[in-house]
Amino acid sequence: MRRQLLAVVVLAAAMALGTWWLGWWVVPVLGAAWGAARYGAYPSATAGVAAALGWMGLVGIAALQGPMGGVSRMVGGVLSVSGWVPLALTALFPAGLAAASARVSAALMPVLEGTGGRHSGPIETGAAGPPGAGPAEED
Amino acid sequence: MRLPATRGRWRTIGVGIGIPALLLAALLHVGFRRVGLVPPLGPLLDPIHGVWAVALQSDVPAGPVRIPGVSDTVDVVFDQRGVPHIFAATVEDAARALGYLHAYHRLFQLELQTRATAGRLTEWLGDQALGADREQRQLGLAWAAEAELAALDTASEFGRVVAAYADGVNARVAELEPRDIPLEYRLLGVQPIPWDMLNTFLLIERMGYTLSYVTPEFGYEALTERFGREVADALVPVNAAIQEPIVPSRRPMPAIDGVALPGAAPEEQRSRGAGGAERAARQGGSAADDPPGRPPAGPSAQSREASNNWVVSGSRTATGYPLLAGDPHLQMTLPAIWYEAHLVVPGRLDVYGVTFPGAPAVAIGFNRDVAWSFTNTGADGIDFYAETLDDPERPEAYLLDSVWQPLASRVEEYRDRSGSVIATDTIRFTHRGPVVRRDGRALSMRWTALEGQEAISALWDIGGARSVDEWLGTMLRFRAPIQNGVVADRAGTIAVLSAGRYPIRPTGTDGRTIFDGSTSASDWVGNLASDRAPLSRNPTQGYLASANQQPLDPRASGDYLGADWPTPWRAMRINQLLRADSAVTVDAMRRFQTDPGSARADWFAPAFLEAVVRESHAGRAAPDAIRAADLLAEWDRRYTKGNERAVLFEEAMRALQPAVWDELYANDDSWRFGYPGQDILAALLATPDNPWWDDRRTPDAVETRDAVLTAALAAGFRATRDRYGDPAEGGWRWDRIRFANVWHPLRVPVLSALDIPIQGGSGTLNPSSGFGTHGASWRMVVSLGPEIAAWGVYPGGQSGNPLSRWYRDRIPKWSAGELDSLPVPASPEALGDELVAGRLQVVGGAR
Repeated sequence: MRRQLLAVVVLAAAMALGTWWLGWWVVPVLGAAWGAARYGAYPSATAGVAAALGWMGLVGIAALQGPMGGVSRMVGGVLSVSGWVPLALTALFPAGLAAASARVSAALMPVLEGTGGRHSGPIETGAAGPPGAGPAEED
Repeated sequence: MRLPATRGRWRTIGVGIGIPALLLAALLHVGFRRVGLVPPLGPLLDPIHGVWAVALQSDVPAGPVRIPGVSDTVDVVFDQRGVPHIFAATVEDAARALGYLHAYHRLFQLELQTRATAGRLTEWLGDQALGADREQRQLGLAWAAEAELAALDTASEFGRVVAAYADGVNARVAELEPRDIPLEYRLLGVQPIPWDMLNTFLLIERMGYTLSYVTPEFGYEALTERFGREVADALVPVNAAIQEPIVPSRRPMPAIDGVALPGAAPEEQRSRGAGGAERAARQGGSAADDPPGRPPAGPSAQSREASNNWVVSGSRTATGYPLLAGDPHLQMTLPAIWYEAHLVVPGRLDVYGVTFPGAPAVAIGFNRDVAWSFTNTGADGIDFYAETLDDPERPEAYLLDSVWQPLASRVEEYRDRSGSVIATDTIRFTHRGPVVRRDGRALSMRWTALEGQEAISALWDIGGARSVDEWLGTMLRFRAPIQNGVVADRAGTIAVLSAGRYPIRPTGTDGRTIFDGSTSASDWVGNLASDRAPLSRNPTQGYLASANQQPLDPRASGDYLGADWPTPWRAMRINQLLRADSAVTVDAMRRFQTDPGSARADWFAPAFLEAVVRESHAGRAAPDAIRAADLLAEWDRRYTKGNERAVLFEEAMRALQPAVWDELYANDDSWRFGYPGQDILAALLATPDNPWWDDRRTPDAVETRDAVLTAALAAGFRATRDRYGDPAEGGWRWDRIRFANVWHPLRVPVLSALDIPIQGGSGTLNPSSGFGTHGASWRMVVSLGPEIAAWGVYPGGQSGNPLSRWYRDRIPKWSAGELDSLPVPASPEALGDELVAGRLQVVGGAR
């Protein structure tokens, strides 16, 4: 569990740093890499959480220096939505990107590796297991 | 057994991949691509480079800033109001710093306004901006700006200043990091582009368009066809019916010259001009081929650009020193059209005032010796000529003095965001100007604004004037848009000059008609000599004021300067105030700028009341009219925020206009000409039985003045009560009814300042339009004592960043009619620390 949490934190930091250095598109790339590595029982979920944490962490740091609430209200006003929506989107958008890309890459890896789906764990079924083991094989 | 296993595996993979893959594709799509009005979410939401970074943009640039070409360090001190005081060794360096700061604080505004003028908004907005772009390009503004740039002497001081200014803007554009991009670019999903010197001239062309594209010709023509020339002359008059000219007259003012509005039966005349009426109706039905930009309706509605300025000589001030005030009224926007700045170049320039972002000059302001302000003259600098073309569809020549002359042409391409051409137009030009189509006719347009305005260069030079005479000498060079400049100096001289180029039409004509383009005899024959321009210097009355009114008393000058002048309500009011005060103070000047009194109300309110009394005595006044008169009689004729009767008067006036001018409606009431000026309506009060009082919509009755006034007041009362409740309920307070609305150009409420209560109404010195979009764009008072002192405010703030403390910080004071003291430090160190918001050094060299 502790290793899982640590992994999420490390991935979140990578998401934040990658965004800082390279831009927002790093999120799906790292998500895909995370999914391909099939680390942990729920790689797509952890990737999504990490991405959201990474971006919200950046927003939090920025909030120490500027009126982020004002930005959210302003952008919400521009888009004719509630003021908290941009903030929520800033968490949900990277989360969705990272989770979806992690899941796709995790599902594709067995096919690409030609392993016949032995490592189908990343296709989450809700079963827990040790890192890398994944749920039971289906065929 | 293997087949089902394989199928199951693929089903698992399909379910496992399909949905997430679709989700991923959708998120990547909205991440990279715009969806409807929503910009790409990836770059928008990116917490480092996206919209969140707007919150981290500093109000004061972090220095030192490097601008190529800067010869010596420029010190910039920002005061607490965000005004940069720029201390430079050369005028070029000062211009570079100003350009940089304009771009730092107003980059989106710079690009938006020049794109709008050049007709290049499609490159941001695609097809939806095509109509607006076409209008702009057909006016020839970009063509004129290019000509003005081509004629620029780049070796002159002004030429060097324009180039240096562009360097400054581009230094900011070049240093932009993704996090620095202004909010609006992010919302539109576009990127800033480098600044071109041409943009400065485009900006000035846009001001020319805003202030001088006035075309009474089409209304005058339609009225002539429908009612005859006599009526058209009366409704689109060369001279205002009420005179209160800018240049003091020997006659007592205001002078009621009246209007010769024939009492002809409009029905008869309409049948005589039936073709014209039909055409007028057609014109009203579709404006698709109208000359671009403005509605073509008849007598022009009163301009919403309602500026004031006045100057008082030391003989009539409390201190014995001249005082000057100015408040140009324009469309108010956030960010504001103005940017305050103080430019100091020792030995050459020490000027403070408001600049246009995009141009390197103080337009309205003061230096250590002279102060000035402008109002728009509204003079007629535009004419149309009906041309004969060789081919209506694809013309190549036009007929002039029986000889076919080649048309010049210019192909205009409209591009979308990707750079693809989405439409193409060919704009053709005669020797007079661009050809537009209207009502099946080809009309060429000659317009002084397209022929070298000399505006910015003159504004640049007046910044260095040492006296009123120097200032006037420079402004004689100013050509368009014609402006009423009041000016005062510390030596005690005051003056007003309606500066600009006044074209002279052929003898026997004026600018209200559409000329025959097939003969050169229709062309302008020259310009009014500068010594005939409206000018007054140190008048015996001791003060001068302009408020867009007719500049010269027609009894004193027969020169045609324009037509359909605004009713001089504001001029009457300010002159009334100035006449009554022989010891004017700075505070009085400030109060005058938002004075709630109204010459218009002084004129019409008694007329309503007297009409009701007469109708009542005759037993013809309805109870509503009597009740309304009782309420109106309680009014002090002031538009204070708490006033509860002004709304009744406004509703009565709103009901009165269509009742009087019902003849101007088309037969099916589907269209009308614009209302004539209120001076004509005011003058009509003197002829109670004039047939124009009759409401043709009531064929069984013949209304007189009193009946119409009484009915209008009753109708106004009913409308007010229906809309705002019973007068005792408090809903009639003026500050609940009339507001100023300062919109962001993207029309986004959260970026705008809306529903701002104001003191003032139609025709007051602080006029408010129904939409509240126009108003005092800058208020300034200057005292020209031993040391110059000044106060000012505009509705907005220095920064274009909506999250900046300087975005809308001035609006409360502006709304309250208050002014800020304007510090004018002589050196970077002279501004007290408590007044300094930041310091910046600008140095030379590449980044």
